Amino acid sequence: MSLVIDGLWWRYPTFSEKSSPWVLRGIDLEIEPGECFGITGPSGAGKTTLCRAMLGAIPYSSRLTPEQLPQHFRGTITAAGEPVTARTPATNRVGMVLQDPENQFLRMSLLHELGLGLQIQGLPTEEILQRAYASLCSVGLEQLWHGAAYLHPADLSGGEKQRVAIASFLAMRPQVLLLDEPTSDLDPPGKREVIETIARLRKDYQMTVVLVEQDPDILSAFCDRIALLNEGHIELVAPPHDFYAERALLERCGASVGELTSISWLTGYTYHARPPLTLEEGEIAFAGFVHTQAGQPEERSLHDAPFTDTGKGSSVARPDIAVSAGASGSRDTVKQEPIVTAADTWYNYEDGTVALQGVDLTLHRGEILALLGPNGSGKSTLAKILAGIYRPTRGRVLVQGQDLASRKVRARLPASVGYVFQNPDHQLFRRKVSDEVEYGLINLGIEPAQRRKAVNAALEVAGLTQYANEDPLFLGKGQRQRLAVAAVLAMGPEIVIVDEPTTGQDYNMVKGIMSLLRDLHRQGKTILVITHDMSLVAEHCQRVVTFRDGKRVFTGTPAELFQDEVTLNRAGLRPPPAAALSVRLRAKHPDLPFLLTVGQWVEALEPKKDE
Amino acid sequence: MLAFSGVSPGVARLYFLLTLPALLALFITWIVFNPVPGKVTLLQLPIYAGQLVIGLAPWQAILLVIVVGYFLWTRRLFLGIVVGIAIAFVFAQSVHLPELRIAQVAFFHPLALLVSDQGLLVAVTKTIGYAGMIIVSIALVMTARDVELIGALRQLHCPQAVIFFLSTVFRSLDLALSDYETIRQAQITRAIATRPRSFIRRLRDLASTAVPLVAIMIRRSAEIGDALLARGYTLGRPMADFYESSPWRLIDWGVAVLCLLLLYFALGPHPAVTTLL
Repeated sequence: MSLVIDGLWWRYPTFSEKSSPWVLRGIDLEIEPGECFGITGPSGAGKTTLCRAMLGAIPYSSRLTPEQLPQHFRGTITAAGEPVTARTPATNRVGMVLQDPENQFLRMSLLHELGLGLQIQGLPTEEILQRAYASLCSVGLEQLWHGAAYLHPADLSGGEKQRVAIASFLAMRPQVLLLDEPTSDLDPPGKREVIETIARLRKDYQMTVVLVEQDPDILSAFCDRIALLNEGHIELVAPPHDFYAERALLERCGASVGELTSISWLTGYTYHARPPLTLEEGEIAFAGFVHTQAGQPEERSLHDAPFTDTGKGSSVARPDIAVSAGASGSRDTVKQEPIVTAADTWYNYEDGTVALQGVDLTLHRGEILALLGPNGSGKSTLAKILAGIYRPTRGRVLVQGQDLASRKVRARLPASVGYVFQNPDHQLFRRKVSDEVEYGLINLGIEPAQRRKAVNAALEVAGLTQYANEDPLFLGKGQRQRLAVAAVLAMGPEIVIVDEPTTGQDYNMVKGIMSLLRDLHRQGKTILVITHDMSLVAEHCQRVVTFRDGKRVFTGTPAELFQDEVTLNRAGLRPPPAAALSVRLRAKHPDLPFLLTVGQWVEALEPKKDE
Repeated sequence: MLAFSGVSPGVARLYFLLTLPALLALFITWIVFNPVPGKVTLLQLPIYAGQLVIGLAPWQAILLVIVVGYFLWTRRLFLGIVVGIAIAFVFAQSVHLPELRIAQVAFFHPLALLVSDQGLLVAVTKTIGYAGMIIVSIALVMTARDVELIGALRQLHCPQAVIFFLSTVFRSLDLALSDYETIRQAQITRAIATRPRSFIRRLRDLASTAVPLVAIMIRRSAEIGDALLARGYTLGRPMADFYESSPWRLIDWGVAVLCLLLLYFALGPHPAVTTLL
């Protein structure tokens, strides 16, 4: 066995007399050599803590005395046949790649980053060079070798930094590699680069990989087995096809599941008595839809037995179908009045980077618009221009009829345009939740009585009323994100810009944030979303604008985008599975309707009641 | 140097904004607090008689009226105090009205502003000396890569822990600057620039960036710690040299000798070069 965990219990030490709750509770796992083992679960389940335990950081870096240790740590962990001890990290038997590519790039040049672990091992220069080069080639970045001594972390993209992190561990030749949500903070091209690297690792090195992920598509594609961790317990360990068949358990624990799995659960169509995990399987599983739509009687194969829920009493419920444009056209009547117009907008950063090149954009009152594109394509720059943070270098930008070239107009803009940043920690300035919401109102010069009303209303909308007196820094990540939204909402903006609201969030947090944004939209707010989440775009957005290298390359509905392969390739995007399956089926059967979302698939696959 | 170095205009502006006022302040301070008699006296002005006078004077009333009046009018203090002091000073110098002296206490020694040719020369020499130091530091920072600075410390046989700590600080500074930029943008979106802000208010807004900055850096440092541990780093464990240090060349020896020579001139038997003039 490559990794054996037996009866692992762990709780973090506190400075008070009161003990903290157990974070890991009786974990038992056996991972085989060469296996790719997935771990998933909601935020706070203990995934990162489990990884730290496997690395040997827990409990040894916690400085517990021998008397304190049994009260905080129980059980054993064995990696590559030897017990995990305080010395394990130094032996480099186990390597760990973290979620944030910035925090693990420890040196100021690529060459030194690759060689850091080997320097610590005390290897001679020639061997370090040799191994560093080989590992860089393994992750597909050999083109960076010639300038490696001069390449600064800022010169690398997020995906490249993650691959460099993997390479730096490969150079140390670990037997087990832990990857803690390595793709969460990356854009779609970055995600693909890292995923391809992991696939190469498995093929070339037969390395044992433990992959912590929220993305079910990645887990089902790469993992031999997946473990569901919830509240410190391992609830389930199974191969992907059995894992995603456990509907009741996955729903109860709030685990993310793929769109094809959701469609299967909700309609009963299956592939070999389980939810389909790939587009090929989906084609076969939902073949009944094709026959029905083509006018032929539905022929269900022996394999397509109705899905039997193995959980306890969960019913097949219709999904919460969000109102969206979809292929059938807009269900929401969006008022066509433009609230923002940007014409020939250019923006140059101080270092000379041209971030925007002649971008035109119109945002209509009451719509939800998505800005898409790889990192560095200009989406955030344009959004910050619309929020008054940047002044456009050239071009004309009007927000509610006012020209943003004027400094006074930009200074007053926060009252009408709210901006929620990706990381809530960047925008929490006070040590009390209610004070935080009030901060912007004080800056606007609002009277105290009015401020109190606005604060209470904003907290209620965000579902944070009971946390009004709490310290924001002690809230969970999802709660901090909601607080950031509340703080912006309290200022009463008509337009709300949200920068990557679902990045790094688990399924429940994503649901919560999107529910909040939908409520705001129903209240008449205009929402501009910067996102890499194509499912979110399909479910919620009425229109999308796609960027590449500072230029707008597409504007239209999500349905139009996901059927435009040229634009998708140009922008480095992939359609969500539901839309991708529909495109695939329509390639063979052009008269099939285009189905964008899980909801549309469920509607289409349900038996028609008037027949 | 800055214009041709390829440095970004913002960084160059920052260097000027920081160094020029500092050098000017140094020059003025040297003139004021180090009177040196010379052949030509350009200005001689008694500033302080060496005694503190405790009493009541018309200028105090003027100051009080201006400060309180300004506060009642605008609910602000700072500008009122500044204007009040200026007006009270001018009034006290130009209009001599009777004062009520309660006590007179000797405190410190008399001060006079004395500007002579020799004094100017000394102040200029000192300022040029410090300016040289600043320019050399800027040149070093702007032309040396972090790895080279770390390598220099390694060649000076600094403790490994110190070297690695500084290396991590360099990297963290990079991240901290990026976070600070985002935090300032977040403040803009929370309307800090919507209304005119007093100086104190601006300072408070600056201070409020500390909360998110410290919170983020604490979270980052925990992850950086994990990343270091994952690489096998432990305090006290020696690390092999890898493209950090380089052998001494002729030019390195030449510069070292030149520095020692300058040190000798500064501290050796001829402590004041200006006396040679």
